[in-house]
Amino acid sequence: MIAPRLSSDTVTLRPHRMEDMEAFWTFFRSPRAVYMDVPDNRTHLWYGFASEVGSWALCGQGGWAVETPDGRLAGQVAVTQPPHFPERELGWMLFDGFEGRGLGFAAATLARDWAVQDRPGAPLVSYIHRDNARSIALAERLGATADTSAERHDAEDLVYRHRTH
Amino acid sequence: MTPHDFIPSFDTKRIHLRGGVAEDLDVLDTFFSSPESRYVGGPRPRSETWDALCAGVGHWALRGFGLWILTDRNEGKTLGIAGLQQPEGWPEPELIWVMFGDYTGQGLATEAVQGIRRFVAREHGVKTPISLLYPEYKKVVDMAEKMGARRVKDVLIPDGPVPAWRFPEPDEGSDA
Repeated sequence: MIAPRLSSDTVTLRPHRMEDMEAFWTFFRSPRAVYMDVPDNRTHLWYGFASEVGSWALCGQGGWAVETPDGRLAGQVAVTQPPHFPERELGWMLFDGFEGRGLGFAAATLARDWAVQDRPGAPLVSYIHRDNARSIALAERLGATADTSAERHDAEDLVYRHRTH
Repeated sequence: MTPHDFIPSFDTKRIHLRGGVAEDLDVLDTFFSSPESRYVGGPRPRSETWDALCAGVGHWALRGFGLWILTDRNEGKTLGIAGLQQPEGWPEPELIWVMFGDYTGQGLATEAVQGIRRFVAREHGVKTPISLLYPEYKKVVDMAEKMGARRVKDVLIPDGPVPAWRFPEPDEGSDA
């Protein structure tokens, strides 16, 4: 299985392609990635990138590349649960220049709705660094609420809980 | 266990080679969390082994070639990992193989590598792959050289220049 293609008026979610890698590299070297786990080099980036793809075949969920309606790569959203995540996570990142026009919200909405439809009632959270104000604002705009008692793998993260139906 | 339609499976005399599945994580983690894995990317936490397992499968989707999980044809036990890998920024595919501790010394690694050399030459056009080895990991260097691999100029990967061996074209014959 590979990532299903999902579209709205604002955004398209599609499987990753090799040529997307350069934009991810640029993102991770920019200040925008300050709250993320940043790969040290391109080999490490490859493992993160390829694992978002392979995750679909292994467990029926994973990452999507986020594309604008005119076909420009704008970021990534993902529904994943690696072994160190206590719960299934909805995650997102938006590249430089694509913020402030609702792309992140549209992409995260499509991914969340897919996740809910895929496993109705299953918990879905977002782990967000406590200083990442833009991401916290997006989680709240999605209707997620902070769950202060939820387990987390990183003590500096907040846990935002999404609706599950 | 679902085989993936984009990963080919094949057999050698004693080994079944297939794509990774989620159920492989425990066996892989046992090996990659142990000191035995020090020459092959470990020891490392379970979460990184999960990423590597996912990436190994994603590699096939992105590049059309990749790594196999090696299992015993009779009992289905997981013996190791082998195949081609070419992360971003690597100049060409590398032939790698890792046998888990209990399965060394029986010629299984050689059998897998010889089968893979023929398979990737035929199916992927990779006829003379390189392997990036630690020169001090004598056992593996000797094995590669016994199969005809020779030390070549260091290969530049994103981590820097690393010692490299290149295999000759494989002999004709069946994968087995």
